[in-house]
Formats: sequence, C-alpha cells, structure tokens
Amino acid sequence: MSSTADNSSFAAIEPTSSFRQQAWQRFRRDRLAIAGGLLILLFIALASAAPLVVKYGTQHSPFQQHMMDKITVGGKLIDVVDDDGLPVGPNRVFLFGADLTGRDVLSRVIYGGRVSLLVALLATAVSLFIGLVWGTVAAYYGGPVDATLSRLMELMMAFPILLLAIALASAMQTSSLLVVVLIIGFVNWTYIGRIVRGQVLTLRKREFVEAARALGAGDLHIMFRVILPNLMAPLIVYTTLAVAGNILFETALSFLGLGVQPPTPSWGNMIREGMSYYNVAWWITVFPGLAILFTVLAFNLLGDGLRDALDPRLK
Amino acid sequence: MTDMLLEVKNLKKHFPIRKGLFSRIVGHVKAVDGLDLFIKRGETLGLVGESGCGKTTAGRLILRLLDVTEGSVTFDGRDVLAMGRKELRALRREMQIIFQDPYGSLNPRMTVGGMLSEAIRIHKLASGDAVKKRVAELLEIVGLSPHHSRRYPHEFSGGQRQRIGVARALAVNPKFIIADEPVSALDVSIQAQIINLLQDLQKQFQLTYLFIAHDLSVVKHISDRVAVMYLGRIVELAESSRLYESPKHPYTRALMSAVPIADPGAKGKRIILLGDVPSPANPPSGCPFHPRCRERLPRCDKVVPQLRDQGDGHYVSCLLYTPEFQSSSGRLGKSVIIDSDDQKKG
Repeated sequence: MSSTADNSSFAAIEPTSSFRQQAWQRFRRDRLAIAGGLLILLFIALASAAPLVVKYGTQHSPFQQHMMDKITVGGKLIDVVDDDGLPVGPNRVFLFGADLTGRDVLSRVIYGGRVSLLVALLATAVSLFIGLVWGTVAAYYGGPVDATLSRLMELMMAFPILLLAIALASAMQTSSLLVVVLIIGFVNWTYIGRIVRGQVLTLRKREFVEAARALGAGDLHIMFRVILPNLMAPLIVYTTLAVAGNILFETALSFLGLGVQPPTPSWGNMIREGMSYYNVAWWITVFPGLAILFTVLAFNLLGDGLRDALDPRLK
Repeated sequence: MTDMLLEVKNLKKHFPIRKGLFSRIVGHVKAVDGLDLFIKRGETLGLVGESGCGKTTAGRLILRLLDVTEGSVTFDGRDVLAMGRKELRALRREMQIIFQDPYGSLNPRMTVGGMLSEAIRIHKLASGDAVKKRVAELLEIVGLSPHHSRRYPHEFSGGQRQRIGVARALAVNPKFIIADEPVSALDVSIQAQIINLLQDLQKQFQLTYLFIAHDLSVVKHISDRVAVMYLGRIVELAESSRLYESPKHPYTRALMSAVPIADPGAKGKRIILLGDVPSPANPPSGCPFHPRCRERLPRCDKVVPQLRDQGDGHYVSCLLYTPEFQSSSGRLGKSVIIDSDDQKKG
C-alpha cells in the first residue's frame, strides 16, 4: 500500500555526517581551542587531585607555616626566611617561593585553583539554571509574563554587578563557599537569561513547536523537551565563556576580602595577601596571577573555538 | 447529520495591530472574517485562495492552535471551542496537521524515531518495545524504512521529510487531517508521490482531509469538494468537477481562467483581475471582492453576500446569485457581463 517511489534517493543520503561530526571536524582544526581545552583539563586534574599532588609533588601543605630560620628537607638545610626576615623566593624546595607566613606558594596555588574553579563552575551552574528557566518562561508565554520577567531582568542588569555582589556579600554575615557561589551565580544570571529569551523567542514560532502542540504536548514538555535541545549550541558556548568571567569575579570578590576567607587559599585572596609586598616578594602575587591569566585565557580560547565549531553563523 | 465530521460557522480571527510605546491597539488584521464550511466524513475538502487570504489561519483555528475571535467549530458533534484542557488533549488524537514546510516543521535536534515516539508517548498509545514497533510500522506506512528512525531530519530530502511529517500526523491514529499546503514546498516530481501517498492513506485509514493549497490543479486532483477563499471568507464551495467546469462566483471564474491548459491549441479566455488584493486590515465594505469585480452591482459595496446553496450543494456568496436579483433583474446580470467584455475590447 505504501508507496516507496523515491527509494532511489535513499542511497544518496547515506554518507552525510551528522551535525556533531561536522562540529567536531571544525573544532579539531582549531589549534588554540584544543590547547585551551587541554590546559583546562590539566588545571581540573591538578585541582581535583590536589591532596595527592601536594603530598607527592610539592611535599608541603598549603597551610603549614615554615617559620624557623632553617628547615630540613630531604637531608638538606634550606632558608625559609632570609637574613632580613623576608620570605624566600622560588628555590628547589619551594618552587614558587614561600609567602609571608612561610607557606608554600605552589601548594597554595594548586589548592586555590581547586577553590576558584569549583566556585566558578558552581556559580555558572546557578546562573545557567536561573537564566534558563527565567528566559524560557518569559519568551514562551510572552505578553504580560514576558513584560514582567523582562523588566525584572533589566532592573537587575541596571545594577553594576560588582557593587551588587559586594552589597550582597556584606549583607550576608557569613561567607562560606556556598554563599560566594550563590552570590556570583545570582548577579550573573541575567546575561544567560537574556540570551535564552532571545533564542526561545525565535524558536517558539517555528513550525515544529506548533507540531508538538498539535500533538497535544504540554507547555513544560514543549519548553524543555522540544525547545531546549535547540538551545544547546549557544548555551555551551556562553557557559564556557561565563566560567572564565566567574573565575575573575570570584578573584575580584576574594581580592576585596568578600569572597573566600583565609586561611582557605583562593587565587584572589592570595593576591590580596601578597599585594603589599609585591616589591620585595613578587612571587606571592605573580604565581596566582599567572594561574588566573592562563585559566581565563584557556576558557576563552575554548569558548571561542566552540562557538566557531557549533554555530558557524555567529562568527 | 451523522455524516458531518466538521462544521465551521462564522469563524473569525482578528489579529490586533499594536503600535507605540504602550502597544495601543490601532486596528485589526481580519485574517479570517466569517468563514463557513463543512466537511463530510471520509471526503477531502480542498481549500484554495491566494496567499494571505487566511487559509493557513483557518486551519490553525480549527485545530485551536490559535485562539478564535468569534464563531463556532463543531467536530464530530462536539463544540471544539468550548473544550477544556483535557478534552482538547483528547481532540489532538483525532485531528492532526501536516505542515507546508518540511524543513521547519521537524525538530532539527530530534531523531525521527524520537519525534514519532513523542507523539505515541504523549497519548500513552503504547509503551516499551511496542513504541519501537509502532515507529517502525509508521515509517513503513509512509514509504520509509524502519532504520531511518535513528536519523536526524537534516539527513533526509524534502520529500522524505514530508513523509516523516505525514508519519507524525498518523502516529496518533487521527480521523481528520488538515494538510496545510503539504506539497507547495516540494519539487513537482515529488509532489505527485506525496499526493498519492495521502490518497492511499485516506483509503487505508478512512481519513478525512482538509487540503489547503493555492495550486488549483493539485486541489482538483485530490479533492471531492473545493472551497474558494477570498479575504478571510468562502466565496464559493462546490463539488470539485462542478466548480472547475462551471464556476459561478466572478472571483472563481477569474481564478479558473488562470489555470494553464495542457493543449497548445486550446484558446483559454483569460480574465485579468485589476488591482491588488485589498489589505485584510482594512477590507472593503460589503462584498470583499467588489472593488475588483467586473460584474459588480450598485449594491455590492453595501450588502455583505451570504454563502447560499444554488442547488446540488453548489454554494456561492455573491449578489448575482441571490433570488431577489435573479427574479427582478436576471437579464441585467447577463448584460453586465457583456458590457464589461465590450469595454475590454474597446
């Protein structure tokens, strides 16, 4: 009964590569993006294995203070504080030098990376969640719902986000990691919300959405099962770039003393602690600074590469 | 009437035109403005008209994909417009739609199998392995192969995609399918295949179609009856052969004269309509066709003609075919036509 008249054209379509394969082909040719991705993997590996790295690699705890004049490491006597009472710079035992209180900077950079990356990733997840739901609901329902949600979003965007974060951080008496995550996530979600709203606004008018409605699909099903998968490309790209931004944000907050609290090391509070001594002990600020630079650079390179690979039209 | 499946009365859809800072409503686009039609069980009703005359909007209104401004839609004895959420969901099983654009109507991020099983799962028509079996069955029904279920839409040609669209509509075992220009976006060679497929499926599953198109020859081929739409209204509705052989409404006559005849010797008399289709935001008073009509009467800009049965189910909405006009000035009607022809020669 069924007609299979255009059978001849079946053969012709067999070798077409899927969207994912094409994106991977484009991504593979982007050397900078690959480098960024590998660097991120390295940082994440170091951060997640920090206790092991510190135990077998640097052999110093990030907290232990080596304040006596001479310490013995592997049978050798090493200066921790020099003749003027200043911390020692990079040497064979403290590869990145020691800080004012005699703690190993390298161990602290690794532990600090753990904190900074964790905070940035979780905060991005928070803003992704709020922005996704907010933007989707606003654009999907439109009309007064959209007007209300969009105005609230714009109201938030009107605040300078750093000041808003500082105000929130001061208002919260405690400043645990979770609070820092929530603050950063909360002040940044509007950017994702705006992108999502714009995308959903065009997607909801597409015929496949109407087809789903004609089949009897509910609003939730249409929003999150039909429309959401089509948002993946811009979201992956934006999320990667947002992680970079959030690392900087966490650093800024910690630098101001409102983020992660000492003695827990984060790149931001390490720079804050070493800042006053940059002319006598540059290594205390430069190494966490370089760590921030390379991490943010790596995320940006990866983000740019993903954008070019996943959405060639954006270029 | 038991053989009546769908009845639409005085259906209207006015889209507001908003302007300015506070989105003030400054007018309405009267996309559908008093549409009447009925479809009998098992038949195919063709709906033709120029682009922008409201054909697609009418289809969406019947399915309740758009909110109706005014009027009534009765499907299988039930009032569609009064339905609540639950009833509407149940209705979706019985009424389906095939879209014009085989590219835009398939979700690019969903496999064909995903799309078809979505329909089955929403209505809990099957579960587990039965879903897979049903998907394979559907693909075979529309002339595709079960192994296509893992592919994404972009891996198919236009004709194949339209087959997927048909399979999706069939997934819920509907009684009634609105085919919204299902072949307009396809190559002519593929058009025939899809039309044949639709006809086969109609016999196999006792389907009723509302076939929306602007291609008169396609509509003639598939339809039992044809309705002609102009500016949101039906101007003529009749059995397919009758409408094509003896069109009554001046607009239909102009349309029919534009159909190319596949005979170089045939001398068709082409009626050229003057002017453009008026804006549906500001439709003419009285009969919407009167500014372009060559046979207009003095009253045409004042009286809105009603769709009237001229016998044997040939419905026309034109003052020329009202009993008052036929009895009082039937001869005058003829002379008006001759006059206009003479004017053309001169």
